[in-house]
Amino acid sequence: MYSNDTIAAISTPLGEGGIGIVKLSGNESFNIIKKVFKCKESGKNDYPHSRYLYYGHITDEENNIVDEVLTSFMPAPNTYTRENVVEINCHSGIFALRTILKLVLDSGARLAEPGEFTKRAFLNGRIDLSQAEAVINIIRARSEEAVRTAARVMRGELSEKIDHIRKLLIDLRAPIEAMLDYPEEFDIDQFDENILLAALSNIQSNICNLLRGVEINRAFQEGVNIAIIGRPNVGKSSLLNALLRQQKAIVHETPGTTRDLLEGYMNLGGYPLRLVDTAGIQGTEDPIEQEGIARSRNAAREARLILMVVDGSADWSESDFAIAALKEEYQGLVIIINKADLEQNIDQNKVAKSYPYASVVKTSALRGEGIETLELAVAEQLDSVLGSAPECPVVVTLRHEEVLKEALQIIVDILTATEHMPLEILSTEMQRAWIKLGEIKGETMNDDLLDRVFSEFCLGK
Amino acid sequence: MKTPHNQIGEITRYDVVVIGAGHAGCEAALASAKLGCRTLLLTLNLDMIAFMACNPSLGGPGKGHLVREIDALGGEMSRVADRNLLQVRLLNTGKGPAVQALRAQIDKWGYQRDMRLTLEKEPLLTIREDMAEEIIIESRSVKAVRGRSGANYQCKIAIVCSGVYLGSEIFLGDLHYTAAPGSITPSFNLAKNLQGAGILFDRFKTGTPPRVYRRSIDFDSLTPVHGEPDAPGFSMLTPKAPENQIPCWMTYTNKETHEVIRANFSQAPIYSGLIKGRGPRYCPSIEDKIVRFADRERHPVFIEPEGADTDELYLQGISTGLPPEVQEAFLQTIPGLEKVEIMRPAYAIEYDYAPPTQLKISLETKALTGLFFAGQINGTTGYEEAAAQGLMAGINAYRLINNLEPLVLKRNEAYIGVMIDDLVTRGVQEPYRIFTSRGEYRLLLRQDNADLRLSEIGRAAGLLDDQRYRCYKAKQDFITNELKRLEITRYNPGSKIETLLADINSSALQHPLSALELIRRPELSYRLYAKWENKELPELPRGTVEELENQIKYAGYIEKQKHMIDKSTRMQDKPIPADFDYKKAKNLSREARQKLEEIRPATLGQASRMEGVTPADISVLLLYLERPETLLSD
Repeated sequence: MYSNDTIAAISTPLGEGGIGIVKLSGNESFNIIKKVFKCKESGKNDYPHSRYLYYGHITDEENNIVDEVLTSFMPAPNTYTRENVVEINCHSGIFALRTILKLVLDSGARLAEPGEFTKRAFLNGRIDLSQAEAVINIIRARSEEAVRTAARVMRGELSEKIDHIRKLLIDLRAPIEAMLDYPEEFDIDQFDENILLAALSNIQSNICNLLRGVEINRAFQEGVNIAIIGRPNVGKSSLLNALLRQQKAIVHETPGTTRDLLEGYMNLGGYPLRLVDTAGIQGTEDPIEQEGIARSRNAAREARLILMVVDGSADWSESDFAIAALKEEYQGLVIIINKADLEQNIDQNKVAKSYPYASVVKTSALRGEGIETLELAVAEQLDSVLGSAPECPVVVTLRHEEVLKEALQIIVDILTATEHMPLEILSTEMQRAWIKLGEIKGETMNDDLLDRVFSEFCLGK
Repeated sequence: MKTPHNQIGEITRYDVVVIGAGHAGCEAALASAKLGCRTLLLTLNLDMIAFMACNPSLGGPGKGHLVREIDALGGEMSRVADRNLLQVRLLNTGKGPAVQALRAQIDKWGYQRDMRLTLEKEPLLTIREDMAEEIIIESRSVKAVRGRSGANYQCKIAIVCSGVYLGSEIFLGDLHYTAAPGSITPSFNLAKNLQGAGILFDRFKTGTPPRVYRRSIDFDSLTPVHGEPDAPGFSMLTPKAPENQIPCWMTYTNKETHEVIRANFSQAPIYSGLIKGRGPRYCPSIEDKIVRFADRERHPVFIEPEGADTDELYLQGISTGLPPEVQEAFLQTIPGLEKVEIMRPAYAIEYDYAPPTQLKISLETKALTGLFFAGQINGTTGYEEAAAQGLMAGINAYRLINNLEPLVLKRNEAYIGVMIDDLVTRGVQEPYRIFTSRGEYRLLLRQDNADLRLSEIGRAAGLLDDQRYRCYKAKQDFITNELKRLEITRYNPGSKIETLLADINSSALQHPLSALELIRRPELSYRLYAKWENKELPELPRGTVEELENQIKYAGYIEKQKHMIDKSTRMQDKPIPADFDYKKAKNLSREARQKLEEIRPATLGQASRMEGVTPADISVLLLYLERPETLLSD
């Protein structure tokens, strides 16, 4: 067998869905699972029986029930990896999945590298490639049989886009190389630097677009950060509660009740959202509150979308101007004129005119009014800052992101240094970018190729 | 088996027999003899040794690099060329450090004569006019070479450097006849006999342009191309090209020229279907150029002297297979050539080559022990490519006899390494020519550091003489010491050097900088800096300062390439046993398995460069190499 340690990962796509699966593979997987899985049918004979579904609970260190699950045990060697495999079918919320995974890891498993299940299957001779097929293609086909998700199709798009960028690089290099290898036949004067610069900028924006896809991917996997900010006591926490439809934040009329950050998760328009309620921002002497305000500013900076709450019954204040100015270029902004149930001092149209890039909505968080409109505005802003999701390849791994960023850096360096860069160096640097991009598809060989080939696959496949 | 001549042959016993005294054969024979092998060099015609059958020039990007590499390893092409220079130019200056290349016009007769005298002076080398007819093989090993004269030259090694002299056919329009350049009768039996021993052959074609009378050219309407007296030579021992150089000239074809050629396409053998062999894309005939680049209204024609004292001129850029009367007609449409008289008509030639995937990386054939191929027989084109292979074959012949590991240059060490790896790994689809763009580590393979890259290797191989080795050492030492000195020479903001910097519009110092960092500024050169220091530069080997400056100015980019190499080396160099059983590696794709069994790459890196072998196949191979026990599982 290839390796003895036991690996675990969440093996279903994150997001909306009824069931999520945490999967383990390795010699110890049965022992590890027994530490966290309390089987309600363990009285039965020969537990665990191969390929039976067992009902039970996953519990934490203090024996609290984390989730009710169905668990199956598949002993080696007749499994996908040819190792002992356990699958925990649980509820697919990101919390439940992450908590279960964490418990499993705390009990002795190791987090699987991307594609490691498939890698083990291959290294243990489980996957047969006799039909003149490449490892990648076969394994991809398997995945597609198993999980025929839209995301899969989109990964094909990534390859296509990489091929396209690489072709642009080759097309650009070809005349330069001809000039270098045939200095007598091609005149350097025939070379138009502006055309080159334009082509390089085009390549740059192609890579940037792909990197946006990375971000969307991350948004789908980890949730889009959304910060709720505003002056104290404008109803930020009420709004969080209204959006989450639960009492998460302590709501109190004393300004500055929220001194730490409160989080909540929700799904909206296909986006998993991570909402962060922040302390009100205003000049204050209280050191604890000051610390809270600093955190609010940080939360705002890390967010992709800012929900700025103002009190519609009060005036638009200096602080409100300052808060609206926190928005960075990469961020979306929704201005929420709250407390619509009270008499209004702020004109929605005027606000909309002053902040044309923002969506402006009226709500009464207390009464739960305007929340649907707010949700629509949030989805709209997300579409515009993240780009419409379906047009971008969604499944992009961290490794892809690193490669894309490195390639982008090379192109940016060329663009900034063109003036002092001899043609040869320019072409060599483009070649380096080409080689870099080739790593995404495993076309460039270096010493960790095997690891890389297998990290083509999503975690836990 | 015994013939009366056998007994005579048995007296002359050689270590190495080199077949063919072209550019590959000369280097092979010289290397083998210098290393101590009793060497016989067979030639079809003693008066045609080192014959420049096509252009009277050497060098250019890639090719010039090869000549420098030959020089650093202890070969002779560089030195013979330098003694017969008509004109030298440095190409691609200002386009980058590694694409700069020397190109030289060579006195063709001078070169032949000089190379022959060089061969004659070699004590262990015997030159003999005879045609090799057969290589005698016993138990898959070379035993002797049988000549047409009947002589049996007993030997341990045979190096075939047959050039375009195997099964050659010359085409002049619809006329074709059995002949090789110089109107020599080509050899047919050698290829036939080698085929009998299991070597495969295929056909390639190439061509040569017309040679014309100097007296028939109107030079007033031509653009002269002058040489550069300051340019260096090919060999590290030649600091400067000769003062008095002969010009070349330039003109262009035009629409009328192209019309004449188009009207006569049917008479061009490649289009009439007479020639079936594939020709090179990058040295196309004028009819090829007109078909493939239909939108170009003109093509350049370079007029080059064939020698210092002959009236014969070579027309580079318009090789053709059209009949002589059509040649004259289209030439006379070109400015300056209106009254041109042809001395030698252009012709196309088709010849046998042996697909080089049949070779090991040492250039020995996989099928027969002791049989080496070098030069055009391996599907290459160009004197430089041939000479480089000849040199390596000569060295490796000696090493095989003495049970030494073959000398293999890596792709990141030399263009020679790039070329031989390309040949034996990927094979050739058309005549192979070196380009700088073939080297993925081009920045490291500069013509100015060929000596730094390869002199120690040439010395260790036993070929590089004291004179050249000392020269290399002087350059290496100067550069090493200067780099060290410049690094520890530091300047603080406000120091006097700022006034000098201001003179050349270079900014003042923001923080302390070393001299090395200063010279990295585009506006400052090492020479200028040395002047500021009042440093007298000692007498230095050619290219020393240029190389030092390259190492300083391009350090960042050079480092990046080195980094790329480090990342890939461990995997690239992983050996694959020669007897590796690909059939048992059942996870390989069918195509990859077939190709791998055929080529039998020596390393994983070589396997990865083969066509039809995907990254996935490589990962499967890696698995089997690292965990051979998996081969045995079900």
